[in-house]
Amino acid sequence: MAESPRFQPALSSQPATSAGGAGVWDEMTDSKGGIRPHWQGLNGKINRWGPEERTSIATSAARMIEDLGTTFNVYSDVGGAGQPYQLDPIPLLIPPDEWSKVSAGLAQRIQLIDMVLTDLYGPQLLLSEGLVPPDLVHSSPAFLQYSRGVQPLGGHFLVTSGCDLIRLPSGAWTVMRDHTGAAPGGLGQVLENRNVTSNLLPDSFEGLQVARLGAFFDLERGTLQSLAPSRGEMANIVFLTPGFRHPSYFEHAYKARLLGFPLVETADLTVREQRLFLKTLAGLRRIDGVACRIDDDRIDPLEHWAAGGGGVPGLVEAWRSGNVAMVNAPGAGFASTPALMPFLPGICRKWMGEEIKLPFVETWWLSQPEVRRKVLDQLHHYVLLPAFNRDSLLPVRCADLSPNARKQWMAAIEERPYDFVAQLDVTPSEAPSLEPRGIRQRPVVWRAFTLNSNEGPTVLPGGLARVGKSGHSPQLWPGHAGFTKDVWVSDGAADFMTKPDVKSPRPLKDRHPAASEVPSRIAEQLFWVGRYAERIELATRLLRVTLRCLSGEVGRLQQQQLGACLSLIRGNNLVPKEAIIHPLQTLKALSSLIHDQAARGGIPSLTRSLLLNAAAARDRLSDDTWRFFNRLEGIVHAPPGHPTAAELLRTLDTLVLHLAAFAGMEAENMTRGQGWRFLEVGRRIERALGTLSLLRTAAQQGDGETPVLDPLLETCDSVMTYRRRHFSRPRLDEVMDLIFFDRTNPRSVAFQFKIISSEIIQFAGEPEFGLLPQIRGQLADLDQRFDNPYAPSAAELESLFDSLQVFADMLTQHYFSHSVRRVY
Amino acid sequence: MKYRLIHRTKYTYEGAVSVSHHMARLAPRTLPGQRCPWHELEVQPVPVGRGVHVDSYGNVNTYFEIEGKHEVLEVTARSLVEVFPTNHPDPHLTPSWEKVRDACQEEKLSPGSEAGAFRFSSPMVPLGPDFASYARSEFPPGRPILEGVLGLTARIFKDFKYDPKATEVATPVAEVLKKRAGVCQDFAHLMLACLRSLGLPARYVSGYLETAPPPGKVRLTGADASHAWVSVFCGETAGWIDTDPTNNLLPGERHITVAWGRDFSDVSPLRGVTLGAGGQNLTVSVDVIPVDEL
Repeated sequence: MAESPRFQPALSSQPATSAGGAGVWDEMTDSKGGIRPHWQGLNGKINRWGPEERTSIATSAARMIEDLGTTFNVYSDVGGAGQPYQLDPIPLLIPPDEWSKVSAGLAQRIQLIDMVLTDLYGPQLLLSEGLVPPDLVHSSPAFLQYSRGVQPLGGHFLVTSGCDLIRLPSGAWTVMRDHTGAAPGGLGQVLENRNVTSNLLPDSFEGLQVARLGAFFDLERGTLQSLAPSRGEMANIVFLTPGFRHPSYFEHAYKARLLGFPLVETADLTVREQRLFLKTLAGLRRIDGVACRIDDDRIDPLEHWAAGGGGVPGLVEAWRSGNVAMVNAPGAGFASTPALMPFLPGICRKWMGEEIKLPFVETWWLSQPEVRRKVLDQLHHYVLLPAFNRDSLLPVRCADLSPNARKQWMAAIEERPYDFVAQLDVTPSEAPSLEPRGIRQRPVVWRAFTLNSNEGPTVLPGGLARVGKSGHSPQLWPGHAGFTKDVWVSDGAADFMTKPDVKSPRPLKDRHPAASEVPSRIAEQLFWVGRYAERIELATRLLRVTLRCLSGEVGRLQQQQLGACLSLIRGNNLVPKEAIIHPLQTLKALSSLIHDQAARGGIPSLTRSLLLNAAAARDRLSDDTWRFFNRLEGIVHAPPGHPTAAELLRTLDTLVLHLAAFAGMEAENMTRGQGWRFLEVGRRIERALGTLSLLRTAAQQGDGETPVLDPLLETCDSVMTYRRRHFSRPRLDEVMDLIFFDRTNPRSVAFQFKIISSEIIQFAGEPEFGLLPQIRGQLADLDQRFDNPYAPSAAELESLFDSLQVFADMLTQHYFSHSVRRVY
Repeated sequence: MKYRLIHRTKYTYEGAVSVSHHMARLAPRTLPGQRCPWHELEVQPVPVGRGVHVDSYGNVNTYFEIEGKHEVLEVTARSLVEVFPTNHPDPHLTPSWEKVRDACQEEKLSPGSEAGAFRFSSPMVPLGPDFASYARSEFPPGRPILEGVLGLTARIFKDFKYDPKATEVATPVAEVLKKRAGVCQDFAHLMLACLRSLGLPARYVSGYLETAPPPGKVRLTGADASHAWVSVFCGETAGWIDTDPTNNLLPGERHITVAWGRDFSDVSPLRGVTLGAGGQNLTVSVDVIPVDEL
């Protein structure tokens, strides 16, 4: 070969090593013990803090972060990610001259990496020119074959990136890691930290002329909107999050609000004719761009068939067809691999005609035999990193390995060297940190953020500093835990100073969106909250009346009634229809329906379904409502031992009261928006279905006085009304009058239809669109039945039940799954 | 040989599907040894959106969407294909397997580096010492690569039982190795795992095999099936050579190539995501009809 050895990382640019400078760079104090000029103001201030002041500042910081958390991260109590981090209120200070160097370096870096991605997903000249080893591309699971040949809208694969910088003992800010995937996490956190820190230290903030962050986010919003092709109006952008269980959900919610883009999950989106749409109650809304926080292998099940479900089917096709912009483009995450770092200086020199500006921590991809030999000889100087996240045991610090473990890793490296990267074990600089016992020096890593904007690359003047423990390799610090601090860049640059700083976005709860903004998923979840709440209530009442037959004297009448109750329980599918409950086993069977998590159709499983739906619609429910939901689980939680009938009855009584409280809150405290309407209709549909089932069971037992009528009246909470009207043992025709026909009885079937009819006309959407005419027609047919005075037979009740199911399915088809399309 | 191909796939859903998205890879490739003068893909109900692109391996991918309630989806691919006889190199004259392995590690972009893309693990083909040790006896030091490939093909054919009940589409290849049974897809994946664990580039090929009716019998409609085999890179001169471990032979005029990729997940003939269905019932029928029979 005529050229220099192929695929050799460029050594001439001298990757930074820790060998040169002994010790640790101190951010605040110089080698002679003097305070560095840009720290002088803040140093004086923090040194004056006494123990009480330190405590009060730390407490304020924690409280402010917690307040932001309760506003934006409402899900931590239902299995969502909890408060992910803590704030150290002393910022990291960056003086103007350092900032100009680092920002120029980062601006170059995002252009460079974007160029690398554009080539590797295109002609791959970097491979044929010998600047990147082909194996680096071929062995990477993050290199997405389906992105090859796609021209992303806006022209960039990489639009936003993060970069972890550390300052080595030599004093130079040095790249440790690039983040180019869907989630260069931390940008939302930067804003939270800025809000808190600038409030706690207002004088210092003004005095240091700290660069404001607002302009960067304005630019980010504008850039996202400019990527999509103009359709003659403002581009619709959504912020796509994996959902409330993701550790960064808090940040996603915050950032989405700040940018003013709806926060959506994959279930909110659908692809039709290779275009992306948001499902809302008013119909499908065309989406032009996605700020994507979902991992590349979770965005489209059609493309990631082997990885299993999840994602929006067709999303990649919509992107490939140029109908939607994705930021970052699928596959951009490939460049996050540290294996690429050693090749960047060479690419920069050859393709950009300049030297790479930022030094990087010495990093080696071990697939190359000569490199591997050199590194393995000196393994204790390095930290082993996964090239492609295939090893969950990595990273490891080689100096800490036992001889045995070291041998095992070396064998693994020889077997599949392409999976490993060695990065020099380095010591980051230390900055003052507020701790209970005083100000302490702690190592910091600065995560900086860059935007490949429509006006060229722009670096956020600030960032997120992560605080670690002395003596721990920064590559091993956990990503989602520990203290972070704000980064203050002193910069006189006029544009950042004149624009106002970022305001905290308004919390989710303050908004009452129009139908066009209510995602269908939220409405669907509230619909099921209503249905499950009602289903639990019916089950509770039915079990209560059954249990009463078991307590006290067991006479003949009670035996008869117990049989009747069990037939109602079977008729309403609380237990499988064919299940036989032996009289002596009844208590055990009922107890399992009340307390057994695994019992299908039992109260605990219904409660879990209720909570899951409620959690996903959490920001539409008041805190009191939420507290009620949380308590439900405690009530049904199994007590030790075998509860007696009396104990079970007490549990059910408590449940009935709680459910009544929820119905009251729903009626009194919820705004009559589209969300509430779906909850209410869900409840009414469920109550009508349950009552129709009860009546059908009763009708099957024959006319006149049957033992099933007493428990039926009690389950429908209509005993008093019946007694007041009839002063006699219940008869089927009179029970039908009260429970089926009576439009004044809030427990009757007719009453449910009255409410459904009056709510449905206020549903969103044009009246003649889609399934709405059929939905109204179906409802009118059902409603007419109550004008016919003849008591319904069991068969007719069954058919009414089925028709109502069809009606509920049509609502689902129309509003939730959008099987008939209305685009607006 | 000229063939008429008809590949019918019918999904019957339990409960109506309201929206579905699909990706089909059913168009035979045009290759030095194969021509596809005509291909059509018919979908019922008629799709609302349809897009065709060539993927990074050169396969034709057809994307389509169905909107509106439907309980049945029928996809019919009809093609006319001509396959030419292949001249296989003398196995003894192919380079040693180590030479091929090492050449791929020091590659630049040439046929060899295309090969480099197929020597790592992929979603359905993990690598590991078990696979390497199973293959090792066929690859003693210095053995010409094609000899080794033929040996491994014969060995899999001999050691493994063809049993459609033994595995499913998603059965891990490690389990196939333990069970010593499976179908063409499993044998192809297993062979890929073995070859790649030795550092050799190998790819998954999906297509069809013409099956001759029993002597004296007429061809039964729909009796053929999709088939899968393996292609191994045997050095710059010999290039890619196909081998069929299910039938212990080197494919010739009776193998029709549709698509290739790292494994089945890159080339699955038809996949879809449906909204609303409970279960689904799938029937596939394939006819590979030699044109001289028409």
